[in-house]
Amino acid sequence: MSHLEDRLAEFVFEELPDPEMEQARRHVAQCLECQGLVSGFGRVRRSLEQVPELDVPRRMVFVESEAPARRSWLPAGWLVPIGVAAAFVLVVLLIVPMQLDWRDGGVTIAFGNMPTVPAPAPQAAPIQQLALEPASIDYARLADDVAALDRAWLEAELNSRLSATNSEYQSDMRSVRGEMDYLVRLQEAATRDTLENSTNILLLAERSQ
Amino acid sequence: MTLQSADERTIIERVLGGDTNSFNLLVWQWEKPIYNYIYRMVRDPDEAMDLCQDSFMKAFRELGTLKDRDRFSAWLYRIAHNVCYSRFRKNQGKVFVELDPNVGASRMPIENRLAVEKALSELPDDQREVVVLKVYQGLKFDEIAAVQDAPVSTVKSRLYMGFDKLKAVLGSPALERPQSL
Repeated sequence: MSHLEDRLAEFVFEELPDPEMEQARRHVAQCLECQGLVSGFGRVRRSLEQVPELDVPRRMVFVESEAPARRSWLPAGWLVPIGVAAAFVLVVLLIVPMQLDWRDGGVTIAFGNMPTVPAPAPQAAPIQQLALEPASIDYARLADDVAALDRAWLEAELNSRLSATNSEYQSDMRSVRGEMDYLVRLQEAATRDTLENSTNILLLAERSQ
Repeated sequence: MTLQSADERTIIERVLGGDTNSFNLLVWQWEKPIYNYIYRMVRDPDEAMDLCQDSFMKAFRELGTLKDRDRFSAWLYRIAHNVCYSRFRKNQGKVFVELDPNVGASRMPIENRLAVEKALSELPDDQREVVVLKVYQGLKFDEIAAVQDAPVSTVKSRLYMGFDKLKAVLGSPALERPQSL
């Protein structure tokens, strides 16, 4: 038989078909060149195999999410026509000469050239005279107002915290349920294996008797 | 306890039928090998954990596309391969973290273990992947070819090239574990 050459890896990892493997073993037993190659290959392999496997730093558990999918307020089919319409309006606004006038609280939009209207002369604003009179301060009413505000704030805060706690609790419960299901599955698998093993042991015992 | 491929097929059917929790059995079975494969590719334990999670998430989402349900592991390694290479492309030119001597303590002298890990880390990605999948994960050559989407002959030549480079560093008998241990 010829040297191992490109079958070296398959020989070392024992992936050659049985008859070929047997032939290769016989060849290596009497070929110093192939023995050297196998020995060098095996040395590297053994060095690599000494590095241990790592444990997974944290376990993963898949839990079904119950969060509803977010829905768009507008059907997707509408987006294209709306986009086209918006683009048309933009083009009209850019091309057509237009004047915008805001006067006396009213807005006037005119296409083409709008005749200029002289603005009315500003009138002098009436001056309001404020009387500076000493006023008595109602401290009791102020205190009631502050207390009412505090109460409202406290209620809002309490409600928001209660709802956050409820949501966390629900999420925790979902997670625990998922883990429980996972453990039950593991237990089922272990039980199945145990049963299979017991059956095999009994069969072996029967055969040996 | 290991799941046989028949069990895996049943579990996959259950997951596809809507039983999400059954997927945890596959995770439990494969998380350690996949984590170790990714760790040996990226050499950073934290990032390896993140990529491992990404791989399983992707596997869960794409489980319906798995045609041959008896080859779940090769398919899963292929997903992890894609996740690793996507990370390599993203981090191209970045400096990798130093190897942590405290990770995976063993009876092997620490200097030898570091020498092995360093030699491995200096191989090109495709050669390192073949060495890792062959030596540590025990995949057959045709399975590695499926993971790398390359012919078996290419996989074998990557292994030879990788081993030749490693031999220069690790070939010394001093790096082998004493027989008495």
